[in-house]
Amino acid sequence: MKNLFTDQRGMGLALIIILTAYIFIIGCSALALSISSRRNAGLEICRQKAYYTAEAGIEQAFSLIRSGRIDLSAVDSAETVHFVPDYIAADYAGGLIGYVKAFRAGDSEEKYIITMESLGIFQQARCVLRVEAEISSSADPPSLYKIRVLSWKVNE
Amino acid sequence: MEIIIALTVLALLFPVIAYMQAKGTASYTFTSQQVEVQESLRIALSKMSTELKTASPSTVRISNDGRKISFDNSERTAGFRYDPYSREVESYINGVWLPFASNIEDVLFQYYPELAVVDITVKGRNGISETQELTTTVSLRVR
Repeated sequence: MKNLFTDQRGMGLALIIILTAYIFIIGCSALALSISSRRNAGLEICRQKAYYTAEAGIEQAFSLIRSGRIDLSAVDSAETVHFVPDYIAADYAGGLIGYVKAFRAGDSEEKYIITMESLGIFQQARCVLRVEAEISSSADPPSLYKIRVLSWKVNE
Repeated sequence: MEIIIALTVLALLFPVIAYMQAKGTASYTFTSQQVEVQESLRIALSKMSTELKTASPSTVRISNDGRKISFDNSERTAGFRYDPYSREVESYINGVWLPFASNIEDVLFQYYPELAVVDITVKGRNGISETQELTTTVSLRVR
């Protein structure tokens, strides 16, 4: 009977199979890693587009408030004002402005704080921007109001 | 006999492994170029929207088919333009145009004076990456 430890027949085949399996596993891992990072890069651009869509909603609302087209000073502090779709179009640069809503704090008509929220949607990505701003009467026409941004928060 | 079997197995598996490695490398290159473009677009849009917010609406001028914007803010005359030869976006600082974002394929400014808002669209591409596009709206603060 031949010794199991000294007989080397079949070792070449075993070695090749082990080596091939090793290279195969490494290749699979590299491929899986690059596919997942490619998917993340795609998701990242969607997130950025959603953010800028939400930002566009806020900026358009600021423009409407500043020019006096929407007068929040006459709005009750418990009331929420919706800008989409009556004042701001929902479709934006291939994405969607889900909503832009604002409500005010304080009773003074000259100076008050508003909290505004805007939802930007692009494919599977969503971004909510929450902005606090101080609105005050402007002495420089054609603006009726001055806007000072107090805080700018992002929720994804 | 053993060598022949080993070589046959190797010959069958080698093209598969080589294909997977090549795919992985191509995917890695694509992703890194894609990320590079995304960063360029983000930087370009962030800088332009931040500076445009301080622009005085009556001073905003758009030229070069929407690829150049000039404006005054409380401190100086500023502006942005797209340079198609170097594929960069440039900023006007102290009389000189200086680049601040590369891998840009196109830039478009649209100004709506009645609302005092500017729409900015930036497109970017690098190597084998897909063309990516970011758009935002800026409401001009100083009036």
